[in-house]
Amino acid sequence: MFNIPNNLRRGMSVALAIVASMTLAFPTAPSMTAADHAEATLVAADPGADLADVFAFLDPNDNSKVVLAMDVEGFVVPSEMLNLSFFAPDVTFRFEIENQGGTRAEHTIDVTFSPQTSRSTPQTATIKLPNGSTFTAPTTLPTLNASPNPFTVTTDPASGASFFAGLTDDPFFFDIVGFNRFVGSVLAGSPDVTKLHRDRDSFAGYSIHMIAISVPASMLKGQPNNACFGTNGPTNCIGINGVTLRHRIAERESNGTVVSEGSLVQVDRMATPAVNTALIPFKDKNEYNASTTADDASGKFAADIVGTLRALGTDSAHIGILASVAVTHGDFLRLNLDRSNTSIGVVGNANLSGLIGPGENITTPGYTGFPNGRRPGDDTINTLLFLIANSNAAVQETVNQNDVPLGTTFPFFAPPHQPLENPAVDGTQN
Amino acid sequence: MLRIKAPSISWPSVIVLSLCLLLTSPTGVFAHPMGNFTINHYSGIHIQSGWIEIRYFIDMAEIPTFQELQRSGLAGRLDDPKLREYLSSQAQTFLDGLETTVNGTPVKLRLVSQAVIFPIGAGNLPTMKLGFVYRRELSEDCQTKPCQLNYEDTNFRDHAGWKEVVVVPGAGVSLSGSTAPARDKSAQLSNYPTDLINSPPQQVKAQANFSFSNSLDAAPGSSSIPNKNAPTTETHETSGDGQGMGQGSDSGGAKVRLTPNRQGSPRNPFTELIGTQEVSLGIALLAALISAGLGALHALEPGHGKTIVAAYLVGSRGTAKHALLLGMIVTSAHTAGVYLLGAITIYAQKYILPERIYPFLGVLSGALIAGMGCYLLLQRYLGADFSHKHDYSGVTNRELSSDIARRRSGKVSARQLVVLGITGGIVPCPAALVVLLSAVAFHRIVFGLYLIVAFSLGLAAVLIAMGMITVYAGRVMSRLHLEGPFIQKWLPMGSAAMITFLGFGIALRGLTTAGLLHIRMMR
Amino acid sequence: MVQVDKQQSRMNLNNGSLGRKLILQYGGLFVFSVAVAYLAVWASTSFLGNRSIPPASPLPSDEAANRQTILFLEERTKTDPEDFIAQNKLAGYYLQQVRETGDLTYLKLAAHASEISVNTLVPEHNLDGLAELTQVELTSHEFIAARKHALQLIELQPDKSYPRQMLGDALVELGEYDEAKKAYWLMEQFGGVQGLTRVAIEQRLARLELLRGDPRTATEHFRKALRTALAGPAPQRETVAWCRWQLGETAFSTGDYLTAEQHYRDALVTFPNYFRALASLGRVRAAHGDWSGAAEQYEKAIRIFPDPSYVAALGDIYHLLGREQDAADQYKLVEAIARLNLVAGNLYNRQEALFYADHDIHLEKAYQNAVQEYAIRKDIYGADVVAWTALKAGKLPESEAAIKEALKLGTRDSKLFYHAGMIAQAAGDRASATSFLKQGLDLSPEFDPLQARIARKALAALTEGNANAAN
Repeated sequence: MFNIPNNLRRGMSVALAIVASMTLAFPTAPSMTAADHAEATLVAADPGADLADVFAFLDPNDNSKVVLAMDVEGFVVPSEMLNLSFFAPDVTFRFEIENQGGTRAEHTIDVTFSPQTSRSTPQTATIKLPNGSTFTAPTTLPTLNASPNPFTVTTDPASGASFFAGLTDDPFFFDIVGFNRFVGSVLAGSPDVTKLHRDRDSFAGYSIHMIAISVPASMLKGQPNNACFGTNGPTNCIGINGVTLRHRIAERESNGTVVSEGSLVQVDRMATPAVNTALIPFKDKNEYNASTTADDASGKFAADIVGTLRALGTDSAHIGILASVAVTHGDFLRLNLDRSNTSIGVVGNANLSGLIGPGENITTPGYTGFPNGRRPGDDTINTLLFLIANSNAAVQETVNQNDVPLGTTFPFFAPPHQPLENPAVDGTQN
Repeated sequence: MLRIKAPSISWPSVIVLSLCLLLTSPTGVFAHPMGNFTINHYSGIHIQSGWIEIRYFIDMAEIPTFQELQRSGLAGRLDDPKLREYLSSQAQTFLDGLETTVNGTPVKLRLVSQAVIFPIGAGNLPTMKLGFVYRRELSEDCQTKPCQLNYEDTNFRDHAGWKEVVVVPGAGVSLSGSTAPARDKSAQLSNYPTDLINSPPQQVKAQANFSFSNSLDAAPGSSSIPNKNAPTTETHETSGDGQGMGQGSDSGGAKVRLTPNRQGSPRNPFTELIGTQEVSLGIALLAALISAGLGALHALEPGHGKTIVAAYLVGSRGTAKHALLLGMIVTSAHTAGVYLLGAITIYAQKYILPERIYPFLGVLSGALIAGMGCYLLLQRYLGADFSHKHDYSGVTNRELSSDIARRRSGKVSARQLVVLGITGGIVPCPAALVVLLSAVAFHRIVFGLYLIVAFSLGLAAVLIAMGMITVYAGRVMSRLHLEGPFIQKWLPMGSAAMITFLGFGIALRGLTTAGLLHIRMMR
Repeated sequence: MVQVDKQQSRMNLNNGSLGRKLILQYGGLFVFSVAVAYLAVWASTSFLGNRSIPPASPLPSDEAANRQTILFLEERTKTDPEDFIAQNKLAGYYLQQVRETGDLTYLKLAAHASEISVNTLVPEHNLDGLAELTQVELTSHEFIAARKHALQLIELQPDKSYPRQMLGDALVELGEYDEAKKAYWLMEQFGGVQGLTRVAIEQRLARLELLRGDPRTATEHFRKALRTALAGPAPQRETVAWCRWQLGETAFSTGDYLTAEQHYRDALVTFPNYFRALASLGRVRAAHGDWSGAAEQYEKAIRIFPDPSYVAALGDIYHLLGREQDAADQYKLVEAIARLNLVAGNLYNRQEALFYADHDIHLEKAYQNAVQEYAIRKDIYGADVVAWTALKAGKLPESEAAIKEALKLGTRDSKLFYHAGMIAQAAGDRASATSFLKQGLDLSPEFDPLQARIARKALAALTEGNANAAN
């Protein structure tokens, strides 16, 4: 009983709706055999190498350690976890580290994963540190039980590095639709801040694939330099850039294994949040993902970034601030190792007591977060909005906290969301 | 001779116009979740103090019903003598597929009541809804400690459909955990949600822990099933019309009552007329009557220039005859449009795709209407003083000579009427087109053409009536002698502006559909 | 070989130098060993290596998890219809449900979800929304719209594989085979060698090879798809079953009924009650002459999903079993389904047209149906339906033109050859008719329980006629 479907698009006002109903497209309803025999499997994009966020911060429990994290492949629904819990074995997950104040990283931390053989066997991660030493660690598997599996954290006695990889709650909080509408309103000439007040966290309730490593700060320290945000005089400043890479050539053997060879090619990169998604025009996004921090510093994307900011009404002073964060020294997360940090970015240290609280932003008293590195709880969006709006505290998004309490110890993220008996009561602010 | 006695005021017309606008929100017509081949299940498990009842409904769509009627040799009517036996055997077959246990022991349910109805579905094919009530006393002691019920409906396993299980505690029974909800979402398969934001539930199992409260008539082993010794009642509901106006869903009790779905099968009765087997004179007349009625109903739906008709008449202070004329022109244009597009579709389909024509028709009409609206707007803007009384010199005679005067005074012009009527009606509605093409497919071309004429007549009638209402309402209001520049000038201008606006909209819509224009809105 | 060598050396002894004798002797041995080695490698890679596909084993069903996921996402969209991420994921899950259950209710739900998503945020910020919309259009057979949106997606994501998969799919259905080949070539360039993308790529390459008349290579691609699907850590039941089923279909099309049956049974081990495999198992049982076994399988399939082609086939089987009333019932059911399609406003249905033509009823209507559909979907199978219905409706010139179109890719399909043969016979071209019918029957002798008989009779008559003419 398929009615003649209405192929209308709803972009017009009610008056035009009358008109729209006059010019219906020719009706075609699906026949019983529309879903044919010969249709191939639905197309799939393997999202395994698209970076979502990168974090870099001093361990609030022990400032002699630096915590680095990157996550990929989010929007995992609780009951999807068993199918979507593995890391792509043909991808190299790399933290680029710059510690001379320059524009190109000098060191790397590389993480690769063994293929996953079954849903109940963890993968083995191989971590290669800047000094060349390596160690291995298992991933943490998810479960569909009411309680999540505890995080498996592996510590390498030789280097003092700790490692975790597995599904966690997605720590990001942001209203994608509201933000886009707000930007649209600004570009259209009539900025409407109320569009940021939709109060819907697009990321609440979902889990994401997280890789986190904690290393002694001494392993990453280089030359004191001026590259960090808000510093007077040289500090022990390091820059972190998250990168994913694949080998140039991948061959499939007849027994099904895949052998990768050839040089590594960059697939995606990420450091400062929202740069690529909000400031780079669509036509240049792919190029941005394939470019390096040296390209940034040489001004390759300066015109794009500055152009977008100008269109959003940012004044020169604030353009300068933002440029200093993401362009001048390349797009790195710059972390000042000398600056003490006792929080992971939730106001009042609530997170370290295991409670939910609003994320800190640049207007929070005693703020030591983004753009000084990036902590899991930092409200990076409101910090950026504040700066883009020329230090205007009125331009803020009402989605300003994660939906669940973050962790109190390394890796400092919340466990993944477990399936609920009644999916309606998931308590998310979505 | 047509005379306008006084300037017409259009407050009611404005109201009518606004109503038209309000009624045209494109909610779309979403079919309800029962596809043509689904078999829908409902299990209502009522746990009573000392006994248990299961109300089990199966709602079959057209194709499974067809198959079932073939298999069992039934006629799909309530007066079929084989029905009683069929029901009894089905009652047992279904029961065999319901695995019910309490504390691990199977419950030997007994049939208490059965019913069937055959509501008519799409294509005039019957659907079938079966209902059974099973009961059994419980010998377990569920008072001192809770008992556990396990239920699984294994009938028609793997067959697509809407599947619900609910567990409802009766008086003196407390549930301490149930995997099934207490309320269903379909009013026992008679009122399905149509909002397309929910996929059909797929619940066939339930587990519940329950206990009997401390009360006199809850002694274990006491059989307190009402009418326990009454013979199995069989009820055949006689609501076989299937038009979907049920009085209410099954409300419990030993007798099961079935009601047809409120959604029915959203079938277009017009297209179904084409499928009738023989066309006798009686059927032909009846079909024509129905088509006309449907055309009338269709005219009330958005489209076909009603707005433009009303707007024009509002602004031009037309008379009843104008309304009549306009209505007829729209209708003829519509009929011609359907025939034309049908002919093109059938004979020129190798070269021209129907989908491609539609948008351009829209662009053409839209441009003409917009042009017309602009013209009227200018006319009314520039038009000078109006006096109370105007001599209207007639539509057909002295058109040329009075043209200027008429234009100035903003009266109705025959040419304008014709242009407006044609352009308003020329875009044929897909329903009529489908009828025509279906008729061709069924080799009933003449019958199809005939039905479309009837349809268009019904359409005409309503349009004319609406035009009349506009005109007479205006006349009524004019007796109140409301005047002023608003009435004299701005309202007619407003209506002309509306026509222009709508015309642009139609044209724009056509351009967008044709893919020549992309409107991207970053909202 | 050694003896030849001896003889040769004897000859050489007789002729001349020892050196030449040695060269020939050892040279021959060398060549021989190389040849053997080459044969061994070739055999192992093309026969042993490739024939080995993993044995079938049951896979866990994701039904419950999918249900939970759908409920989760539906709750989100109820709270916030503008949650386009949830709408996109929902559309994807709904489409998967269409594949697994055949219930087109889910297609409507998917269309609704993707439409809301696309209207919430423009494609630049919502590529998944556009992708789901395109997929919905493909599944709904709105190929022109799907092509348009796939092109738009390619513009937005030129270096990804999946938009080209979708474009290629639309183009194949529209009959634009050269363009489809280009699209699929690019699909591979951007595709990578593992994961679900690879499975999707191999399936499409297989389809292309089938159309071009190379079932062997197609089988290779399906095998690769199957192996890749099984190699992942969480193989999807329906995907694996589908690949095995397609291997079966390809084997059936070349007359290898034993292999086909094995594949169908393997599919059912992976996914019990996979209705496509059940129906195909019925067909292959019929090919063995096991009418009652065939009926049993078709009945099982129809209980789950009453696809009109299954119903028609069951009718044919009943007819062959002598159960005429049951056969008539099935044919009536096919007509009821056709009527429901018509009432729903869907005027294009080539399955229906084929059914009518095969059973010699409603011939003019069948032809009209076929022509109407071919106007917007010019693939070779559309041309075939036009040809067959035209022949039955007595329109010989139209059928000749159409069958030429249908055969243009060189597809090796017994039904196409059978139709071509019958058309040639009607046109009086006995030589071509004999050749086509023979070709079709050689390829897959039991391609259809009823039609294959007709083909055999016709061929017999022709050969007899030819023999008589020769005398």
